[in-house]
Order: sequence, then C-alpha cells, then structure tokens
Amino acid sequence: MLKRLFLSGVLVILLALMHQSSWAEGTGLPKAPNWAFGAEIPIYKEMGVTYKGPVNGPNPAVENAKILNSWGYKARPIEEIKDLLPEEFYEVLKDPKKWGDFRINEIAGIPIPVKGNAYEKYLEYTEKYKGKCTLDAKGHLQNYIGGQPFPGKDAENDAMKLMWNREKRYYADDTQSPYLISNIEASGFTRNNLGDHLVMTLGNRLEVDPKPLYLPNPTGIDNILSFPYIAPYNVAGTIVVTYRYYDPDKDDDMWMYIPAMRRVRRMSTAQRQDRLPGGMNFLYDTNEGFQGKLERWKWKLVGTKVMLSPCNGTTQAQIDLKGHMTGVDNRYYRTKMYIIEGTPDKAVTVSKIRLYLDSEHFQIVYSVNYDIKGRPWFFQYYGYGPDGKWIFQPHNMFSLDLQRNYSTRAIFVSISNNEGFKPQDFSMEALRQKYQQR
Amino acid sequence: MDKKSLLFIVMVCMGAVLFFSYAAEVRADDKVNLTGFIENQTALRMENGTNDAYQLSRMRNTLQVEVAASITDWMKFNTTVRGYFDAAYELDHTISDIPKHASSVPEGRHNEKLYGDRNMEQEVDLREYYLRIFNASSTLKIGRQQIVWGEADLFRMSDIINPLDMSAGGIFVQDLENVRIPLRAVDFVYEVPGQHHFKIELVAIPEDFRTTTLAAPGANWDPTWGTGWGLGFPPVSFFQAMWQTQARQLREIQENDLKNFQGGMRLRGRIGDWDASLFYYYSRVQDAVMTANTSFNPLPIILGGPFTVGNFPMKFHWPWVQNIGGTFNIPVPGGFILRGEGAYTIDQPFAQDPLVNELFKTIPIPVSMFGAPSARYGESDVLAFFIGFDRPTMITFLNPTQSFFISGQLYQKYILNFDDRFNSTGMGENGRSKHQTNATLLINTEYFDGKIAPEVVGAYDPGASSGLVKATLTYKPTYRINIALGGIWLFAQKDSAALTGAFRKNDEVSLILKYTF
Repeated sequence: MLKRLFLSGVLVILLALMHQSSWAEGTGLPKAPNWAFGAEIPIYKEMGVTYKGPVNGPNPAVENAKILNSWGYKARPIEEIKDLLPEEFYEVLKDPKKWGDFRINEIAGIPIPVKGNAYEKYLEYTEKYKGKCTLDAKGHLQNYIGGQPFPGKDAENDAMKLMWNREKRYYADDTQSPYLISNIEASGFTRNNLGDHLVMTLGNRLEVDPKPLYLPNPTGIDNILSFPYIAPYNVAGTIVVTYRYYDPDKDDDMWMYIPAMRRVRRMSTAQRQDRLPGGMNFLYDTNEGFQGKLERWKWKLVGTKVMLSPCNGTTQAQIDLKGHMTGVDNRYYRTKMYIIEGTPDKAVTVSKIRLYLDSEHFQIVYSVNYDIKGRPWFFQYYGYGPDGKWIFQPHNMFSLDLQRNYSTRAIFVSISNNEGFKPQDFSMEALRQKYQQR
Repeated sequence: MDKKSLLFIVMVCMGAVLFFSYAAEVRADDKVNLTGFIENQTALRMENGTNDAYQLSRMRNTLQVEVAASITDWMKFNTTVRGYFDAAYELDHTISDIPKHASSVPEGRHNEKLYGDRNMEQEVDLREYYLRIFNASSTLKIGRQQIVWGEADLFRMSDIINPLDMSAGGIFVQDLENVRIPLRAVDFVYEVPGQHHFKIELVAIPEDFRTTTLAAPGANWDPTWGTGWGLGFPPVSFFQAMWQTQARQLREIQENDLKNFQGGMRLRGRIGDWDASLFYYYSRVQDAVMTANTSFNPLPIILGGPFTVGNFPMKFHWPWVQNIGGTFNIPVPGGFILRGEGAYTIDQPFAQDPLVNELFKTIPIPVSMFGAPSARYGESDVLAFFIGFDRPTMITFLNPTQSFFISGQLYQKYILNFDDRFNSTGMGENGRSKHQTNATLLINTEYFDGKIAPEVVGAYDPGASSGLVKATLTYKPTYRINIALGGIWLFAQKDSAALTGAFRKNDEVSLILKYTF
C-alpha cells in the first residue's frame, strides 16, 4: 500500500513537472552576444525588480513550435523576406549596425483552441450578436455588446469596420503589467523608467463577471487605463488614470496624482498627437498602434497582403543590450495582413499612420507614423503572444525614430490578466494606497 | 569651515550616494523603498538689499532620504528626512552673518531636544513620518504629514492646512512640496464605492500648531528688510527682539497642546463632468496679527538701550478663523480644463491703527513713531476666489512635436467689512487695501526628447503694481540628474506692496544641480 502511494506520488510529481512549460531555450541558432532574454536582462535588476513574465506562464504551443526558417542574425539573408515585411521594417533590419541584431523565425500558424478558455466566449458572443452592430454617420459603433462586431466578409473591404473589429478584438477583461520602458540614443545611452500598467474594459468582457457588459455603468465608460510610475524618483508616485467613454463626442477624462504637488489634477486630453513626455517615441493617439478615438480619424484600406506577423510570438522579454529593438529572436507566422491608413481630422504632428492588422487576431503588429511633411517618422513593432491561458498581450514593443537613430522600447516585468478588477480599483484613492511614494 | 569638517561632509555625502544607489535595488517586492535626492542650490543676488548684489543668496546643499515601507498589505509607513547645509555663510564672508546661527522665525519646528537649534546655515529635520492604514474604501493616515486641498496653484484658499517655510525664498524659488511645513495630523478618507467617487475626508490636528516660517533678520528673503531696518532704524535689536518675542508667545500657545485643536472636513465627488468639493476648516491663523503691548516701557529705549523680549512694544496673536469653501474643475470645449476655488473666511484678524484716545490712554506718544498698532486687532470676514485654466497647446512653429502646457489663473480677494483702520491687510500698494487682484501664467514644454525643459512663470497684481517673472531652463541628461538654470525678477513700487513688495530686493539667478536615487 505504502509503495503504491509512493509510486503514485512520484507519478503525480512527474506529470506536474511535464505539464509545466517554460520558454524555449532558443531557436537552435546562436544567440547574438548582446542579446539578453527574460531574467538575464540586467535592467530589471538595475531598476530593482525581478522578471517574472506572464502569470499564466508561457504558452507551450508557441515556445515548442518548430522553427521552419530563420532570417537575420546568423541565419538566411533578410532580403529573402523583403515582401513579407513592411518596407520600413525591412530597411531597419538591413542595417544592424544602426539598429542592432535581429532574427525572424518562422513557425506555422497556431490556431487558438476554442474549448476551455475565454476565446470560446468571444466566439459565442460573435455568433450571438452577429448582424446587430451598425455604424452611425460619424462611424460610431451602435448596438455593440460583445464579440467581434463585424465578423466574416461584413468588414472585408471597410476600413472603419476592420478598425472596430480591432477595437473589440479578443482580449483580456483586465490586465496588470508592470513594465520597463527605455529611451535609447544613437550613442547607446539609455534612460529607463519603471511603471505599472492597469487596464479594465467594461464591454466585451469574456471571463470575469459581470459579462459581457460591466453593469451598472451609469457614466458610459468603455475602458479605464492607469499608469502608476514607480521609478526613477523624478516620476515615482505619479499616477495617471484615463477614462474612455462610449460617447464618441466625449473626450477622454484624465486624472493625475502629482507627488510634487501632493494633489490630484485633472488633465486636458485635447492634444492627442502630442508626444508622451520624457522623450517617448509614442503619441497619445498612436500608442499600441492606435489608441485614439476611431471617429476622429479617416480610415482607408490600402490593401491586403500575406506577411510575417509576430502575433504568435514569445511571451518572454527579449532585448538587444547594444541595439534599439526588443523581440530580437521572436516567432512569426504567415498570415493575411490588412494594411490600413488613418489620417487625423486635423493633422498636427502626424499626417497619417499606416497600420498592419493581423487578420486572424486583429492586433496591430506594425505601424508607421508619418510626420507632418509626410515622411516616415516612427516605426512601431508590437510582438504579441499568447500566455498559458491563450490570452494575447504585446510582450516586446519598440518604436524607432526613422529620421534619427533614437528609439523607445518596452518590455514587461510580469503580466496578469482577468484578475477581476472593478472600477473602484481605479479610484485615485485606491491607487494611492498601492503606489503612493509620498 | 575647517578641512576636517569639509572632509566629513564630503564623506557623508559620498557614503550616502553609494549606500542609496545600492539601496535603490532594495525595491524588490515593494517591501521597502528607499529614494531621495542630493541637491545643490547656488543662487546669486542680482540687486542690493539685505545683502549686496552679486553676493551669494544661498549655496544650499540638501540630502533628502525617503523611506516607504509596506508593513502589511493594509499598512504602510513613510518617512522623509532632510538635512541641509548652506555654504554661503562660510564661502562668502562679505554677506551678513547676523542670521547664520539665528533661528528662522517664528519657529517652524519647536522640538529643540530632537532637532537642536535650527538656523539658517544648517538643519536636519525628520520632516514627515506617517502610518497609512487602509482597506478597499478608506485610508487612515496618522503622523507628521502634508495635507493638500484645492485647485489653485500658489493661492491658498483651501490649501491652508500646512503652513509655509518661506525662509529660503519659499514659494518664489522652491517647490511647494518642499516649502510646506508638515504637521502631526490624522487624515481619514472614505470613498463611497461607485463611479461618482464621492469622498469624505476628515482632518484633525490635535495639538501641532505651527506658523509661517520667515527668514531670520538680516538673511536674504528677510521680509522685514523693507520696513527700514536696513537703513539703521529701527535698530537690528528691534527686529531680533520682535522675532524672539513672537517665538516666545508662540511657544506659550504651542504649550497649550490640545487647546490648539485644528480640524476640518472635505466632501468631494463627481457629478456629470463636474468634479467638485466643499470644505470646512477651523484653525488658528498662521501669520501673527500684532497689537500694542500696553505694558511696554519706552524709557530704556529712549536712553539708548536695546529692545528686549521682556520689554517689547508689541504683542502677537494667532486667533481662530473658520474657512468655508468649495472647489471645482471641469473640461470645457476647446480642450480646456477650467479650475475654480473659493473660500469664505470668518473673522480674519487684522492689525489696526490705534485710536488717538487709545494711544494717549495706554501708550506714550513716542511708541507710535514705530507704527505701533492698536491694543486690539480688528476682525472681518474675507472672500477669496479664483478661476483658472489648463490647456496643452501645440505651437508647432516653436515646438513641432510637443505641446506647451499653458496654465492661467485670476484671483480675487475682498475684505467684506473693511475698516479704514486695518493697517496690514497685505493687499494693494500700501498693504492697506481691501481688495486684491492677481493674475498668473505658467508655460512650459519639452525639447530634445525631454532633455531640455524651459518654463516661464509670471504673476502680476495690478492694484499693487507688483509681480514677478521667473524663468527656468532645466537640462535632464538622465532621468536621475537635473541641472536647472533659472532666474527670478521680483518687482514692486513699494516694500509694502502686496505679493512681492516685502521680497522685491531678492532678484537672483540660480543654478540647481540635483541627483535623485
């Protein structure tokens, strides 16, 4: 009896160990000397944090996927995949001396398992509310509850509908993702910021009750976003909270606790094409590809094209310590990409943006911001990947200033999803309890 | 300063930098977080006043250490320790030495056993220490702290809980956070769950009454310079005795402990686009009001003796006032945030001119030559309010990628039951007006990837023909190092003018080097 129990115990432990997944050791190709992955990235320690990665763990399907082919550092010439990448990205990869070493590893597409995760709910809502959504004269989404608003061929040739599909894509109900963001100069000199990132959506909720809509929601909040800054001292304790409303005519509502004033101040969100302060290569509207109000831009579908998408990428942070980029040894799969151009109602700092929308996941994986004179300005890269529970987040991001040798890149310390945030968790009082430095 | 002292200070500073650079890594898991800064502020006077032009206004070296510790999931402890050494007195032997070892007045901190005799040259202060206990909806904060209410910048209508330390230029040249004098207080906030963010805040300051701290007599930024002592009359002893008398009378009040209870309440919430608050605060005034000392004997002075604490012609009082008011902010079309605030102060005290019969009855005539006030102070209700705006604005020909933050304010203050005898209202050109108007404007932006940050601030009081212009250019080569080159021009026709009159001879250029860890 004891022997059986012992053997059973050993078997359980072995099964548990086998079930645990981890990041792949590599692609089988040599690692560039300046590359650092996950916990070996020294900036984490410099900023006083420990790298943890996604709370749900890496996704074995991605991490163990067979590499079909590789291009770039110590692999096949990048010229072979010129047509599978945005032109600006290709030009960057051709110049590793300027931007750093990079490798693209192709894997086969990995379909999301339908059963047993939030994606099942997303498909259920898509089916249930199919055909009910419309756009009003301003291009605002009407009658939306959950799922993809314009599934199938409904959106195929309509850029605005495609953008709404992206807006209401399969995503987490809430996310907490402390991050490291760095500004890197041509000399390699780097300035690092440590912050937290919390977001909660009140519509299209898939896993956490109440769903699909968070009710009551008397003020019509679409989502709530918060950036509490943790280090360095100059910004530590600064907490930003932004409310996005369903009402297309209503500006975002932004609040900021400013430690130097010891006061919560309401901030104007009038300048959406303003660069984020501190030398960031992101505009308020073009962060994560696009973070503005869709109705305030004009959208045009330039075309579709099969390209390499980093949407099934690794969840592990990867950086080039001497370069500008993240996701330096990431995984890509071939898929149809919608190429969409957006022009703001009033051009101030950008004349247009070009977005590359992954047709399977409706994530913007690449974008190009054009300056007011129409020249390519920022090239942005978002390496999405599913965690162990098939929730997609961008784990490796960067934005390169193509007119200079200057960049901003972001990697995460950890990412947790669907923790059950409530709107009151975003009250300044609650956030100050957690993050207030002084 | 001898070489050993200098070596000791340098070693302490270097040790602190090394220790705290290492300690910054202790942030893991957020249990203990050690941060702070080392700063050197070097400022040069640009005109004759308390000291001559081109003398050092200050060379203040500051080390501030902040500790934030999570004791449990529901309890945190914060403390801030700050020490400074102003090397100006040692480096420049031509500047007035009078205040070097004299306490700033009145005493901002009165625990001499703990802190020793603070002075203008050096100080170590346990500025803040407070425990935060919280649950999902409420926070209780107990300890020495800053409590900030209101919407206005610089104008103090509801931001009245903590007094200000004006001894090193105060709000003119320092960050407000570093100028507020923390108080031992209890601050309880309860937020009603829901999207209206209704909050109830109760503040109690059971025994810790402190007042505005001013520069010591003879120091730069000494506001009494303008009253004439720089010309030799009244003599220096008058002002030294004045501050000492004030400090003694203040201490007598402070020793009353629980009789100094101050407290208030604030209700805040959002209705529609409006974010508004109502407040009530009961406190002593933080600036003393003067009356004549009817037992003053002028004979020793007439015979050439000094003024003394035991025989000084004035008394100082910190009467109780009640403040009732409200604040609001709201986004309005055009991308503006409109901010407003108003406060009604009940029984604001004012020193007043003596009546002739009062003078003859109680005080010998010569005392009136010093501008002696009446033996009784007057009181009146006061209404103050402001309206202001914030707007980030793209001015692409000046900065093609980053907006300018523009913030403007218009402030009004009225004494409602004005008495012509009120002789120190602090308003108007002669400091006797019943009305004040102020306008401020702040503009800043960023260039070169946030490394260069220019800022201009202006303030003007048309009734007093006084104001200031302050410009700063900050270079931020890293996120930890700030190098700020700045200057401030204070103007007023008279020393008695509101806003900047008492400080108008303190124009300076400054260089601030700051390393944060």
